[in-house]
Amino acid sequence: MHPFRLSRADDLAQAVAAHAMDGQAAFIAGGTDLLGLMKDRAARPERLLDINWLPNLARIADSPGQRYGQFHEDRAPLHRAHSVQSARCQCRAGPSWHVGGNGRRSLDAGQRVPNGTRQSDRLRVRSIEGHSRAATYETARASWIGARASSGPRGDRDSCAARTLVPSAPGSAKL
Amino acid sequence: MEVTLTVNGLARTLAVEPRMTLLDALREELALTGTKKGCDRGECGACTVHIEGRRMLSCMTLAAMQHGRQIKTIEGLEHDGALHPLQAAFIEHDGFQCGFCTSGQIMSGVAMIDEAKAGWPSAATADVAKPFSLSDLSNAEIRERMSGNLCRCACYPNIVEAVAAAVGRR
Repeated sequence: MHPFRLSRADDLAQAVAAHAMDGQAAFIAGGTDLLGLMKDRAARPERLLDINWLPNLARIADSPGQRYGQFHEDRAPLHRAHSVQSARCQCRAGPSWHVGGNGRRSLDAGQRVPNGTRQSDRLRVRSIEGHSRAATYETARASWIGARASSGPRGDRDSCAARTLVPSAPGSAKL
Repeated sequence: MEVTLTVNGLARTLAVEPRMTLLDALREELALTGTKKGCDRGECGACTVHIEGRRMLSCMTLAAMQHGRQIKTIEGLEHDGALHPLQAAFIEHDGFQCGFCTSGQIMSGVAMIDEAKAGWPSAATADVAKPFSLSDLSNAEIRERMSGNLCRCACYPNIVEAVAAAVGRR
């Protein structure tokens, strides 16, 4: 991994602002995808903002989208409290409850097909590995940059939960 | 960066680069080599440790991100020289061959049993609306819940046996 600066975000509005101001910054939550990409040098952020400590993200909003805080410690009772069908989708979305193994911790339950998306990203990177390594990194990097440009305010894959916060103005952003 | 981790009950302060994973910090800085590095990509589960009581892949988190947290590794599982019941069950039921995945399997198994006790459902749970109890922990449940830990010696039947024995199912 290339060297980078790491700072802990203690305030949601400040974290969103810091991320918006620094083009080389990335949020890190579970880290499952981002660290893998960084180990491959496919992602090279200069600065990581650790959003695991943001208290706001442990909250739950009872909205039509059933948006849960990404860091809620135990989602099982939530699943029961909300619709069973939704719970089935969530429970069946990943291979296990193994935190870090499937990115569950860095995903927002409000997203419809998060695992499918991320799996295809992984497969894409991996299928490229059959070719030359230089091509791997450049293509993976290109897809990374493309993702950044195309999928949301910052397009940072490791911050999909944070991305859902952005529609409300920084400062008033709440889950 | 200076990081303080409570590892197996002892506060350990170490200077790490931001890019050092928790796995490397445990192995290289603290000489706790019971935690294994398999894929270093979060796919094999060999590096599983407990952070604040939950199973986590130590290769997929940075040491500096865990400042102030409680970490438990395989070295911290025994108590006063006595093996943890799941460790003993792995020996009893021959839950390993080469042993490389075993630390991760056991750390994962211990946390998984706690998750089942806490009523968490899994992808193998037929009715997630019903509170889960330890008696629902079938072999299919154990297999699903341990699916984040790979064993290339394919000791899965015996691993499932060991976990089932540790929860008192047989």
